[in-house]
Amino acid sequence: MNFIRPCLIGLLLLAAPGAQAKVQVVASTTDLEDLVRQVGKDLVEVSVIAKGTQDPHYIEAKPSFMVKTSRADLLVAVGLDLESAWLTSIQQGARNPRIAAGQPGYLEIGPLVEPLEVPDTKLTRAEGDVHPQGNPHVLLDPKRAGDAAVVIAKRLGELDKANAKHYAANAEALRQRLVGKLQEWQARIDKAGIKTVISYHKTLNYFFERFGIKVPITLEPKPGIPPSAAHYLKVVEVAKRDKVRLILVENFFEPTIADRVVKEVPGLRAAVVPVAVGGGKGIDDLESLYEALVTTIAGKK
Amino acid sequence: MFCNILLLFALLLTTTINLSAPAQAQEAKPGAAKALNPDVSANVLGLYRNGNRGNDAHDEAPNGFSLQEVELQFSADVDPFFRATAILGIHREHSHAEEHEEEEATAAEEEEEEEGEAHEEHEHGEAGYTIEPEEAFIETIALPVVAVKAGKFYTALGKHNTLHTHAFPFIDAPLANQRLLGDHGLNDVGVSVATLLPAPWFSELTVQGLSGESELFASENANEMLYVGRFRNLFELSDALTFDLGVSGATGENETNDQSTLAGADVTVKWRPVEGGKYSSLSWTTEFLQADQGGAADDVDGKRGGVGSWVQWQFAQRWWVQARAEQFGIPKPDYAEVENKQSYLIGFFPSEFSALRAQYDRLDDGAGDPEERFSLQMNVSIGAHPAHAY
Repeated sequence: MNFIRPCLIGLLLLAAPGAQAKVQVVASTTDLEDLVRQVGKDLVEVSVIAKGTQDPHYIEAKPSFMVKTSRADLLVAVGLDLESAWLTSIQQGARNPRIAAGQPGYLEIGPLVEPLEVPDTKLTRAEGDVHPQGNPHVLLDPKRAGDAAVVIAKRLGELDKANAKHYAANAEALRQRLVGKLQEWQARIDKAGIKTVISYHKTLNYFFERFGIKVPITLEPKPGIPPSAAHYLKVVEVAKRDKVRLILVENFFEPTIADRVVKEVPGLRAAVVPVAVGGGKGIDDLESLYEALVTTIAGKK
Repeated sequence: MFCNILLLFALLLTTTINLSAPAQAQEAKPGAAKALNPDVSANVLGLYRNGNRGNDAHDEAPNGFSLQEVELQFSADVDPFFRATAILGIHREHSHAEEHEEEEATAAEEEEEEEGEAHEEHEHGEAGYTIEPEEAFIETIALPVVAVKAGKFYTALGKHNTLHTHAFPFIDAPLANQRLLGDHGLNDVGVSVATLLPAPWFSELTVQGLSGESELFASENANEMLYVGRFRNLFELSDALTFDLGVSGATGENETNDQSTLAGADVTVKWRPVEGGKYSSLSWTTEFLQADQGGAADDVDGKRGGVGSWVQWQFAQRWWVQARAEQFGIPKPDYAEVENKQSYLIGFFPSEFSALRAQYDRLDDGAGDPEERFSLQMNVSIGAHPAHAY
């Protein structure tokens, strides 16, 4: 054991956080990355784990993410089990006590912005990939995204007290800009007369709830289970019954089933949409993401 | 041996209870107390086999249905400083043939009569199952740069050796792992220090000091330790492509008071596109493993090794096809034949918690007709199971 101690001390010295000008942040998803960037502006340096074109439930815990996270002052995640398949092993592999669960350097946004669909009965995986703490796709709601910005600003302010005011002001400005847009977006959706939409997964439920859109059925029979032939027939039946005019397929899913349903149901169209920042061309921030979704729903490309 | 295992199991259980009891007492709400329970999961591996050499029911891999293994896993943060994991494996008692030989040998010396009788019962009785702590360790969670692990664990010798049976890329372990490390892999009790080196890519150095309980390092001297080291570098060539390179080695005294060493090297290339990554991915691994047993008997090869290379292709969300080619006999053995094995697998994963996998193996070991075997495995996971390593 004699050789271990000098090694350990040496490495501890190497790892001691130097005087870094910027707060180092790692965000689990691109939506969070955008919020951190808008709140922190040039006071933070932010990198991201999941890409906007990837299904955030199934990211591989690549050791390269551990390297990124090993140097972070703050790790921001959605929580609500969105990242449960990969983030814990990245945190453990990072060997960075600052961002361990329970530390100020680890922030989960989801539980702090009133999650929907929190199950009140005993859960079973016979229902597919269930989320015991609610639907984790909270950032698809512009209002909740604004609230999340405020939460992030508060935490950044705790870690970097000197700039707390800047973070708070940036977050409030973003929150007001997003909330200010709600009315216009609502008006455009109302004008198009879209009241029901079918999506592939429950990714867009927060967006739909915000704008009063109902989701009678999803293309996947249960969360995480790909569509079956029997379920396809059911989707066609529901689409006809509820006179659904639009199917939205989140762009990390295979859209062929939507095209098949469209052929069976008159007046129905399908569109593949980005559901995260970086999920498509020109989707560079949350505002352009919501804008793209509203444009698709309103039917003007 | 079995008593020791039981004792350890009992100890483990009591430790868990003792640690969680005060925490539970503080909580008023039953739901909150439940939240502090360890994550518990079970992996159940059911197997059907049919091959031209599995006709004897006492065979190591007999034909027909069998319960390959059940793995029970418990893990939780102990306190702000440690995380504990215990994994118990339940499986058929291994190698009846070996036990039988041992029995005869000891019977000749007229020793351990009681144990001899116990074995006799097994021979004629039903299949016995044993429960063993596959891994039971604590890990640091509050140290920067290093992760210190203490307890019983799969040593860092190579890539495949750290995997549990349910996470094997194929139904069985690679030939080199089976021949050199045995059914349980190089699994030992000791301390591990894994350091993240300050490089822009993932560069990890792991050093482990262990008691040396495995056959290859079974020294008579209790003070002799087994040392294992691994140096792993993973390069992210693009968002879709990684290149993973590892070298490892182990050294320790063996039962002839001579030195045994193990050397390993592994390369893995993984590809999963950033767009459409749910529906396709490709991974290619090659692993080499060699043992050098000092003081080996005159009619045995002291230096033995093998290499295996396998490709795993995911061609739809729930479907994988895989192929593996292996050779055992590097360098060319003087007292045994070179073994060549080919395996093909098709896997259907109804969800990420269940898999049905069919595998065909052809093993040419120079002993008569090649062995051909078909295996069908049901691999399910229930409960809160931690993510698998990349």
